[in-house]
Amino acid sequence: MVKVSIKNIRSRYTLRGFMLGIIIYLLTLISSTSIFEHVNQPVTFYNLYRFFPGLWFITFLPLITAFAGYIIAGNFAVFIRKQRKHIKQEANKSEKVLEFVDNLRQDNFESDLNLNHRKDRLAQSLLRLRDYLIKSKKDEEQRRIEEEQRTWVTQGLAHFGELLRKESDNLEDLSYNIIRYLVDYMKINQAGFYLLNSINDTDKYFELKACVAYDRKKFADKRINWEEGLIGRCALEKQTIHLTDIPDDYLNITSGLGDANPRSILIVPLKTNDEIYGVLEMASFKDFAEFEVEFVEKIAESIALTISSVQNTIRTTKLLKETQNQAERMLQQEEELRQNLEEMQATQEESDRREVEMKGILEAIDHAAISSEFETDGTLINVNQNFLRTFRYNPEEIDGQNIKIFFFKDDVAEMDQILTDLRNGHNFKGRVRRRTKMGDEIYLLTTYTPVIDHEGEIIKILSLENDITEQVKMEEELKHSKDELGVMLDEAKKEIIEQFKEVESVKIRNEKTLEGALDAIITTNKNGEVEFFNAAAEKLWGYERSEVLGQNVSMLFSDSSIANDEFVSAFVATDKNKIIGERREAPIKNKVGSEEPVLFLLSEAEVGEDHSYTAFIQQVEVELF
Amino acid sequence: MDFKHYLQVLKEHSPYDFSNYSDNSIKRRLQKVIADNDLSIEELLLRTQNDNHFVEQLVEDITVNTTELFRDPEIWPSFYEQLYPQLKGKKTFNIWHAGSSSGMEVYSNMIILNELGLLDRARIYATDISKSMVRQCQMGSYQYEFNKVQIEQFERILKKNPINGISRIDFTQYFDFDSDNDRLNVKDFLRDKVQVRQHDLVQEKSPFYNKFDIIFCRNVLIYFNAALQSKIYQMFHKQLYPKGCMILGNHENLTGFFKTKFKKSGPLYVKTNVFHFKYQ
Repeated sequence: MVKVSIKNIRSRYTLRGFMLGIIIYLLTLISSTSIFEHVNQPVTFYNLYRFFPGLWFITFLPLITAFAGYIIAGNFAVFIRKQRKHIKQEANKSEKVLEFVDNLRQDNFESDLNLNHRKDRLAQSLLRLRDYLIKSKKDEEQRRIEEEQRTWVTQGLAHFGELLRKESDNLEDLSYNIIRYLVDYMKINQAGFYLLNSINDTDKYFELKACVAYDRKKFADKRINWEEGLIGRCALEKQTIHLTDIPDDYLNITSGLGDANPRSILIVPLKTNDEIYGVLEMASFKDFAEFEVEFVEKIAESIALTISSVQNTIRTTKLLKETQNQAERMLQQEEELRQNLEEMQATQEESDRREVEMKGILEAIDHAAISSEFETDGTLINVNQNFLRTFRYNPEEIDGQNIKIFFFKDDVAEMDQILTDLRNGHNFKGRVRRRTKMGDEIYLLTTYTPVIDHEGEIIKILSLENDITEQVKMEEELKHSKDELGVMLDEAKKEIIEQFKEVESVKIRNEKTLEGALDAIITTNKNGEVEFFNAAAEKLWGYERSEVLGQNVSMLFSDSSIANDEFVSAFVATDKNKIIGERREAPIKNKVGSEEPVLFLLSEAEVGEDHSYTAFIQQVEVELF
Repeated sequence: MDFKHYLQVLKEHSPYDFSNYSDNSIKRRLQKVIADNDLSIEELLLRTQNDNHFVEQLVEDITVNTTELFRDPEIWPSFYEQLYPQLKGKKTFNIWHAGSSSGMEVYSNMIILNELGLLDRARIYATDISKSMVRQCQMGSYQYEFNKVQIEQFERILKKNPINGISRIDFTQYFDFDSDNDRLNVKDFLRDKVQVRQHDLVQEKSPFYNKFDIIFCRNVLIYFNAALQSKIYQMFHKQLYPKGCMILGNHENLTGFFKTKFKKSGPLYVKTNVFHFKYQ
């Protein structure tokens, strides 16, 4: 099109040049006609050309101008073409710049500006703008991340501080809470809390106080010795250990689905003021970032501080408690001691009382009896005043002597027997004959008692004696007169027996007489018991003798007659005056229970204190006939 | 005001009667209470009259509760030398520990009974005047360190002088040893076996309806005067079966009229059938 237009322009300008030449020729021709006014000649071309030779040139002028137009148009076309190309280029460039700016606006820093950078200042400056934008964007990102981390750290520290403040005296709870919180907050997988237990300098070890997500085997292994393993190294160096290259069997993080090795492990000492209180161990599937490590280190320090204060509190409380306990125990012991003392004192006083009593008893014995003490072989140990007086010895005379010196020779054998018995623990009690210094015979009522110690050994023998010599003599006299009396008594006894026999035979005779009588006869004693019941009475009452003898007489009468009949009631009663010597009719009750009127005649016999009544009974019918 | 007057006041205002306690002993104990509580005599009187709680505390304070496991260890073999043949033949028998204090002697005796195979047949009663001692006796929890020594001593004696052939006792059968807390706890089967009651020996009435084969009353009567001692012997005599035994402390002896009612046989006092006319 451009080309067409150039041809167009050429032809147009050629035409226009030609036309301009024509117009100039015509104008010149017209203007040249005026010459004929001055020269009277015919107006012809010839004339003209003759008069005006320049016209020849003008005649060819259109051709020249057409050619000139052609040349000019040609040049112009080239110029236009050039201009056009230039404009097109410019448009292209601004489009690209627009696109680039759009990209920048959309944070798309990857796009490039495809211009000739070196020449184009705009491009260069745009690129510089881009680079600046990229840089500032990066800076901003960096700042944001840092800001976030800072917030995370501060928030974590704040929460932690609260956590640490809350716990005061229970290390188990405290450590578990710390660990759990750490795991949650740092989004890690495992953590263990080792507390340094230093009972003394030689026995230092770490104890796994709390852990999260350790498998059971690890958890059971609660004790790690000082300087042992990574935990030990960490504590020893007082440096954080950050491991990213984990040996396969170092730790396993077990979930329900399986177990895997953690990617990194962080071991942080719990230290404050350069002193180690324990170690934190953490394991995670992701790497620990710098700030996380720093965070943990910061926390570790405050944990260490808290632990130190908690340990202090615990120690103080324990000490306080111990002191209290000790004081209490002391008080208790003091009281016990006092009570023991009281018991001893009371016992002592009781013994003192006993002693006084014993002393009294001993004095009484000393006063009342002849007492001596001798060894089991008879050697005298001690005698009292009574002893000396009785035997008429002086103390120095019997010192160290054997008891046998007080014996008559005949009695020594007997004493040996007694001593043997005493050694066997048997007491002796009896009457003995002894010899005084003068050789007089005395009699003593003697008791020998062995004194036995706690082991059951006989220490000595205690002898208590009373002088019964006079008594013995009196007894002998008495015995003598007793013998005489005995003979007389025997004679008297014989006489009495003879008499008794006589009386008995009379009695039997009387009884036999009464027995054979036709009348029924009964005898009662003063208590109303039947003592005699003859054959006729047996027949009358129908009782056997054995049924009646010894029984009360009331059984022979009916209750009504006992109550109403004057004679019977007097007869039966023990305290009433009987009707004696009068013949009376009264009813009796026989064995069958029927009543029968009979005649009674009652007689009384009195022998000493004893009264007896004998009733003679006749049947009424017999009398009537 | 002297302390006798005070004891009279105490008797009137409380169920406790210390008026027949041994003079010197009760005086010392009262002085101790006065000193400990920093009281004047007037204050003591006033509090005794108005404060029941104080009286209870006072009773706890003035009573002496000395006892040990296997106290006087050498005496136990000789007790059982005599008691064993006697108890062996019985279907059941009753034992009373009068003034049992914290109960150590009760449990000592039960251990020996169990070793002899007699515990099943025994019915065991313990009494003390002090409520806290009754509680302690029921708890059966004692100091470890102190009593360890006692037990060791008894083991030595036992080795030298076996009780019916028993020369060793496994004490873990009877105690839970808790050395950390310095405790020695009597096992439940022993604790459940004994009936413990609060009882003041001075009160004339015996706390039990049944009679006894053995009455332990060791180192109790030393705190009483002779009249009260005699009264208590009389009560024991009434509470014993014929041929029953009374066991007193090592330094205690019978005195007074009633001593003829017991026959001393080694360390035991055996009830005799000596008949005493009673003049009325």
